[in-house]
Amino acid sequence: MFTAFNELWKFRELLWNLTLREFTVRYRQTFLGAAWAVMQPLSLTLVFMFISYLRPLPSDGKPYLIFGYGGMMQWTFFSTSLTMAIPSLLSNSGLVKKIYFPREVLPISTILVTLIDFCISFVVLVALILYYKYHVGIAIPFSGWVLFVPVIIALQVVLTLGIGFFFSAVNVTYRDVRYALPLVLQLWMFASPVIYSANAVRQKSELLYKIYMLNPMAPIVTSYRTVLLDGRAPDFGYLGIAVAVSLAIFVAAYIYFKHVDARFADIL
Amino acid sequence: MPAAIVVDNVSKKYLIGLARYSSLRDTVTNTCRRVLGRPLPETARTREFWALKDVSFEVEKGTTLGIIGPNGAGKSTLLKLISRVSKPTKGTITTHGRVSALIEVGAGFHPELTGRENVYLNGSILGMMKREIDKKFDAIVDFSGIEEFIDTPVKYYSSGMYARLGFSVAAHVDPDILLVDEVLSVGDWGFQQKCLERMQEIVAAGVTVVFVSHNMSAVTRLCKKSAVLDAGKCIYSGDTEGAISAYERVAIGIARRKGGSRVNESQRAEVEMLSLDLHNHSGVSTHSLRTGQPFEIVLKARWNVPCDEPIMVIAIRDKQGMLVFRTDSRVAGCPISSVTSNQVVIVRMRGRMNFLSGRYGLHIGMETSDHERALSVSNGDLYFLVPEYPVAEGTANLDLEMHIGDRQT
Repeated sequence: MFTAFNELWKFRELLWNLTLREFTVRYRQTFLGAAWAVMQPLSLTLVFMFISYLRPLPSDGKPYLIFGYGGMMQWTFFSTSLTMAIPSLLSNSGLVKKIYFPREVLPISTILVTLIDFCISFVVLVALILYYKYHVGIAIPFSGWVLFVPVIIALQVVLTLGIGFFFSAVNVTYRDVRYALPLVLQLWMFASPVIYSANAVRQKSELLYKIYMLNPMAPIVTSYRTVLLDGRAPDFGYLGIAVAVSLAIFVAAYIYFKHVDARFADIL
Repeated sequence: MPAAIVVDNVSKKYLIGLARYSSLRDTVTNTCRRVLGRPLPETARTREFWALKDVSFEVEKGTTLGIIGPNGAGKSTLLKLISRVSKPTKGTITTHGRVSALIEVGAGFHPELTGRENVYLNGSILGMMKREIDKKFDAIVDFSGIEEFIDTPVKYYSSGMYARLGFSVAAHVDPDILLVDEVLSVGDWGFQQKCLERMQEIVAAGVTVVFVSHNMSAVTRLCKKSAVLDAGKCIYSGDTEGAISAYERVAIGIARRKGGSRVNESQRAEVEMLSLDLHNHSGVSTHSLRTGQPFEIVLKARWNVPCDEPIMVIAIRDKQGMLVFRTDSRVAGCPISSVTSNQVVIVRMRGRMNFLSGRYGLHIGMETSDHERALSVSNGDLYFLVPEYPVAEGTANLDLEMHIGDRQT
């Protein structure tokens, strides 16, 4: 694995250039450009805001727009990354079949591009929070825990990379992945505290909550809100489990990926 | 001299058939079938195909090795293995230094990006650092000759421009080992010459080069040593001159193979050539025909199976395996009536030799009346030579008559 990292380092400029390519290409010849990065989580949030207006969704007493957008923006990073990363080996088969380079740069670069999108939509979230705090006058306490945000971002990137590595490799042989993916992501979203609060689960049943929080996305999404909207420390117990699960997935997936990557050129 | 590339007993197996990639359902059901001992469905059956078989050679540092061989001989597979795109099934390949492959120019170009952006992208795909590309950028653009369009998205490029820019990037990589696969066939003649010159510069700079090509004059110009691959085996390795003549022998053999179905030693051919001779104008059997000479092909064929109105095909290929002439008894207006088993048919064909100098392979094939199936034929091959013709060169003699008219002032 260390030799693999070493080689990846040698190809860092390729990674950077592929990321740049993806980003330029994604928004070239679009009118709204990078605003599309915000459109998706924002519009979905507006839909659920409407539903919440008909029948309130549990949002820990926060305005639904910032509550829902905060979760949705994160979920968009996760799902868009996987949707782009998993077919990345296939869509670049011309390259994979002709030229040698560490194959993992393909899924990594797509995830990095989505991370840029994420940063853009994060800026919008900050703007929304400031608007609600200073203009609408809703109590949103700030604290030093805001500095914890990069750690959570790193965690979600590690998890996404792990899942991306594994399924992009599987997708080379089994094209089922492509069809299963949207379905799984949709179900997974509703199984994570994206459009509702995890506390609502806890209020129903403590046992259910314990199981619920084993999904690494649950503590990740919840931690964002705790840190940004409540100004409190995240629940390190569940976050620790998420760290362990994410790292395990990442390491296992990367080892698997490097194990099978020599075959990609033959199968594609 | 130390070796830059050591290819040691390398074999590469591919599975061919429909099941190269599969859906999960197929894998699950096939695994169940295998466990239960049931036969697999037609689509799941794959055939093994050895693209390379026990190939060994070494390339000394700073030298150039040509690799020649007919299509499907395994040349490209070999380059893929050396460049690590794919892994050998058996054997090992050791390389010393940075390997760069000029396998398909412009692979990795993104149509939406401009030429400039693609130079950087493609350069880094080929393993160059940004600093390096910055330094060579002007040389790359200059070489490609498309300065004007460098800031235009490459989707608006002509295929020629695309290939030129692709070659230019690849030709400026500065690797220790360069693998080149048929890329000199891009662009117009002028650009090809430029590419060849650039290749010579690279060779002169001490880069180890493996050069795959069908262009014998380019191979001769660039490589002292060459290896010949045929059907996955390395059948010759040594000086280029010897390699080319080994290749020519193979290419004529290929003509035999492509002309009809090959006869399996274990089974009797459906049609046996009892004799197949080439006669010159005085009726003497020969293997050499001068351009312009009349000739006669005489063959005696015995059918081992009955056949309704078979069609006899005659095909002639040059030493590169290229078809230069083909006709059959039906289109030539000389249909063969139905034959019974053990019937012997004698065929005479007269013509005039209009080829120019070279070695040629002639193949007689038989097909069923609907052209559906080629019958197996034994001893249906013949080789002949056409010596130099003083007044013309090329492939065919046109018997050109020149007439210079009155000069007008």
